[in-house]
Amino acid sequence: MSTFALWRLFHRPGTRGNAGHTSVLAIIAFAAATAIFLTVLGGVHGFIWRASADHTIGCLFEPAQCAPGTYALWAKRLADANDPAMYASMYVMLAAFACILLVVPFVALAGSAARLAASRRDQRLAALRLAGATQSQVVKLTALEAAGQALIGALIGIVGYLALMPLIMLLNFQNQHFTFEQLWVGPWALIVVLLAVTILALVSALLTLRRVAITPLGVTSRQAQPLPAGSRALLFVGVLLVAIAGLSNLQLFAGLGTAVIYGIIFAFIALPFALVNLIGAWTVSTRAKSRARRPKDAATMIAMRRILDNPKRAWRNVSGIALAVFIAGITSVCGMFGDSVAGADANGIDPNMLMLRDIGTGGLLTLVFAAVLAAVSSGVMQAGSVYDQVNEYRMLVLEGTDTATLNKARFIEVLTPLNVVVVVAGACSMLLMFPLMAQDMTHPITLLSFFGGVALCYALVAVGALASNRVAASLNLMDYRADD
Amino acid sequence: MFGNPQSSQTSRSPQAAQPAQPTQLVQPAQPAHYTGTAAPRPILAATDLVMDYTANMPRAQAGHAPVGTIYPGHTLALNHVNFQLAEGETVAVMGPSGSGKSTLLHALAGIIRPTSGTVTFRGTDVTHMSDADRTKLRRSAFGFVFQSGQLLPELPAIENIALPMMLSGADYRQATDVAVLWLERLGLRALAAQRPGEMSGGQMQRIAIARALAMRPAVVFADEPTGALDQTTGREVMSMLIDVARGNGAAVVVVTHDPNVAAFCSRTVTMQDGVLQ
Repeated sequence: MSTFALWRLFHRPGTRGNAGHTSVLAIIAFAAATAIFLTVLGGVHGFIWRASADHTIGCLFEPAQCAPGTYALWAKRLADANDPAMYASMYVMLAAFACILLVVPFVALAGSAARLAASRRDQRLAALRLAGATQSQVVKLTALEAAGQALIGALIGIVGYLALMPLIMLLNFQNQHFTFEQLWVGPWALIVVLLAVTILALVSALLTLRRVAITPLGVTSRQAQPLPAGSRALLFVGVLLVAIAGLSNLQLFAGLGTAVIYGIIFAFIALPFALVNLIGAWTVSTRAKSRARRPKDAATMIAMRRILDNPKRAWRNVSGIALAVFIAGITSVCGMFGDSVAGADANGIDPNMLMLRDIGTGGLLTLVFAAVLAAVSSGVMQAGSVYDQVNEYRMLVLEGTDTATLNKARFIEVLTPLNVVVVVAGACSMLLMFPLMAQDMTHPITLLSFFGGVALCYALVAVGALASNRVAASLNLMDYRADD
Repeated sequence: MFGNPQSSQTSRSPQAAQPAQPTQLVQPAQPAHYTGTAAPRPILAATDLVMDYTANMPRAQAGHAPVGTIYPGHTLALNHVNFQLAEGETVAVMGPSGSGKSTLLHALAGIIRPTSGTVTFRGTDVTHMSDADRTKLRRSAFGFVFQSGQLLPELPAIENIALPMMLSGADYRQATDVAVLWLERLGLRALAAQRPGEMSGGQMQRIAIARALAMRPAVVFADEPTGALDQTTGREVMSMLIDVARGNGAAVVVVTHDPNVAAFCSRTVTMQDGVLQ
């Protein structure tokens, strides 16, 4: 039997069960990721459109490629110290940077959606193996399914991108609103994103399945895994201290030119963030271990043991939030400058201040997108874990556990790593910004902006948790036919 | 409050004042049947129970008939079943596959609401209780041992046993202290820190028995408790279940296909096509 025939066998109406639910979740995740990614890409396109004399990418990098007569006009604008056009290229760079930043939660979300597509099928795939299907057929079937879901999700995401566009048009950057022409990335970009999302899902699913050996007897029974080593924390603290020392002594690099100094600042800020991922699982497991020593109630005990069962999974659930909080920390200072020009007459704004305000707005936008991606990712993982644990839930409910306790356990399972993430990423970003903008760190607007961003992250993750509770409530734990 | 195995024995059963040692847990040649001659006071009673799984299905929901309507012409999972269980009694429910054994157990335990008929526990009608009250009842008065999969895979044995006590409000220390006593009593102390994935099937069932009895339930419901075990291990597990339940004064209802398992109980009833014979 071909893989496609097997796939069709499982996709007849009424044969899906929980697999159907997880498919919907995975599709939602892919749709959200695609819509947000395309929106940010649209923003990059918009800034390129504005920074290029004839609105093409070629002209942006090479004036000779500009349409005749356009560059001369543009050059005149660039020479005007009061025209925000002088910073147009910087906007492109920052927008591209935001786009790159969002790749992290985007890949995390796409990965979790692909894992959801692959891992919830252990039982069914094991049954297939028992019935004689080869490992290769099973792997292909699952990868095909993940890719199919990604394709459908990406198509829905394109619709979402178009739906979001009017909202993005309301935003004010460089003292002007975006137009459709600026935000429209074009059909080729849509096709590339569609294919990229599908391939990403395919690769993630194949990588996931490589780790889950599906034997005819199902997945291997769960045993205690070694917890992440503490040496990672030492490495992280070391890098953080070096970065803080570097940022505190930028005068040492004064002779290297402005561009190099900006590069150094960027590297010192980006490196610790990259390493947050390295210590994420360790910090989460350390916290869970300390709470598991004497849990205050049954829900906490279940949650901590589930975290310790797989600290990497717990970290992955909220890792996108690390980025969001990090961005909140970095951009909160810019937000303060933005606020100082907000009340000024639009025509009289200094382009420098305007750019700072726009960095604040852009940072906030990146924060919102990162938080939404992270919340969707976390919600998808939580909902997936509901299906994953349905048999254990059923047994517990039969024995007299109320579903509120189970919901609480699931929420604590997300909240504990979330708290760890907020503390680690927030402290990390603040420590890094301190040498640069120490005097502005305690400004009420900076603090308000930072804690507002953190509150947004909590609120969105809470929405994800509530959504997973709805999924749990939809499960039929009691009124099913007993196996007589 | 909770089922400290020693305190429960001293208060309930003088003969079991000393914790039962694993060596004592052997299959009785003559099972200690419930021998009360006078009509025993039923702790659990089912009257005229009917369970029709199709009664709540789309046909009824579509408005053709009220929900709960019983349709003639197909086999009922429970067909006007009457059943009584006395305090401390041990009953085996036998029957072929699909005969309604597990449905009866689920109805008696308040897990499912029968289509009609009543189940009373110590005189209280369970069938008309709210879901929340039935959940509380199951947690406080009943213990469950299933064929497999009831232990949480992430929790070590000691916490799996402590879990029901914590769900009822005990703090971690109190619950785990009692759990340790149960592990010691059942000769499973060495398994305290092990997770279900690191145990054999027989060890998991022993832990499940400790968990079921830790709350000192009035009734233990066991659904094919030895179904996933070999004969020797199954006998040991069954012997332990009955012995420990008796030691705690708990009644036991065991659903099984296996006559060897049924032999451990003081009474055996048989189900056939939803009818108790």
